[in-house]
Amino acid sequence: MFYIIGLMPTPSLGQLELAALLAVTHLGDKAYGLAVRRELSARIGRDYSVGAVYTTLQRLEDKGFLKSRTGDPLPVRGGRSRRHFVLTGAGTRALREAQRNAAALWAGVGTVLRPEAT
Amino acid sequence: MTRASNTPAFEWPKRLHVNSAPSASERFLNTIGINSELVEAAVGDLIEEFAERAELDGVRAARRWYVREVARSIPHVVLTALRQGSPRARLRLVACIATLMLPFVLTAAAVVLRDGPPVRLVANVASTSDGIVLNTMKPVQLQMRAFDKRGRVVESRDVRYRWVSGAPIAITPEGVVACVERGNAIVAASLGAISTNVDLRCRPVTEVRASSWIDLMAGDAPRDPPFVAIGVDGLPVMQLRGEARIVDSSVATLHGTTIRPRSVGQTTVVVDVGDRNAMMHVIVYEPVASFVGLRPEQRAVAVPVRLAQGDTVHWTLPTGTFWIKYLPRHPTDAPPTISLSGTVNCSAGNGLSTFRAPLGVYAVYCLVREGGASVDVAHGRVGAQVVEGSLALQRVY
Repeated sequence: MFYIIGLMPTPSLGQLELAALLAVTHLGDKAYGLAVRRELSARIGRDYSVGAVYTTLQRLEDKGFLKSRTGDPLPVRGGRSRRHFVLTGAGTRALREAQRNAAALWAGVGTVLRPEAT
Repeated sequence: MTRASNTPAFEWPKRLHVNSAPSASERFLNTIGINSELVEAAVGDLIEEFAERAELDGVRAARRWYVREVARSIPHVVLTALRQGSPRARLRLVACIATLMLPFVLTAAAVVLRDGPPVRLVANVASTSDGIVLNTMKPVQLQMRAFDKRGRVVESRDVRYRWVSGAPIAITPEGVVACVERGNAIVAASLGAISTNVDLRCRPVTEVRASSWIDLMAGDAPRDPPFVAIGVDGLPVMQLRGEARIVDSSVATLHGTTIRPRSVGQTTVVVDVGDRNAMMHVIVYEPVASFVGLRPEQRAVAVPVRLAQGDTVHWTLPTGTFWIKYLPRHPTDAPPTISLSGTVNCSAGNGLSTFRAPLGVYAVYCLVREGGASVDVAHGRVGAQVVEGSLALQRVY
């Protein structure tokens, strides 16, 4: 009887998923849906819908890159709670891997890219 | 976001403070399989941002944003529900989508299938080049059909008519026309903005004269039913619109205006022209070699006759009551001399022994008594070289 021990492959990250993970990282303990959406809008310049952001955050949680906790009900939210997201270890690894991959892909490209015409 | 200068400060609706119970839309999202915590968080975000926007941009602008945001989120919600929901939740979602789509599908179908406005008026006849032929003596309603741009028949009840030129035919605006004499006229038919001229041909028929009998041999070629329509001027009417129908199509069938024998027997053809009609009795005879030994069920038989000048043939007749007819091969052929002898009484004169069949009246009704009778068919030494036809016997009782 023997065991095969190996590393689970890291699930891949889509562009919005990567952006959402980074937004959660930037926001720290203030990362909830609305804040993440504003962070994405500020950094990417694109207005994602509430549905798009939440389905992405939910997907990242399902993949184990995020975990969430529900805060206290707030009057400003009609008595509904905020759902705060925190990066997990797997999420941190996924970001690092994405960073490495991006760096590998971008390596040397800067020398051949011409400045953008103005 | 910039605060509108004339927008009063936003006041929180009371229900935002107190109503934390899931709304109907939240419950619906939970029903179709969306995680309830996710729904609560997303709805909370919407409310929070709505409040901020209402304070900055005004309630109306905030409402517009809210509606737009909800609409933008629907595809994501549906995809998430399909991905995460249980089979039952997915089924509910599909049912909901189908219910929501149904009015649109029905509206689209109604738009596609609806009748357009009429663009063309056509006389309700087989061939418009012939115009509308009227054979009736009584007033009759003209029929027009209206078509829309797609060529579909549309409502045409409100067609209006007026006489334009030609014979002075009386026609009402509703299209009731009375033909009392032979003549052609042009009538304008209009429906809304569209109008068309119709060639009206009055050919009133006062009488349909027809032969009482149509005698056919089984296997004969098709033949036109012998009838003629007579107009108000006493002359035959050649342009006819009518219908011919046959009572028993197992005996003979109608193909257009021709009648084709199918099997031995008897039936009736009815010809309707205008408001007149005529009936013709159709008999299909069984070809036999002679009249000897006929079975009781052989009720209509015919013996072929082919006589050269000076020839005579002799047949013994069975007992009973019969129509005896000579059927010339061609209607214009002169008949032979037909002589009956024995204990026989015929309708053309009691004790008639010789019946010379003239054209058109070539039948005689005879009773052959128990003593027996015979028939001689002879061709004299004048006239055609050869006489051809059939001697037919139709049992009455």
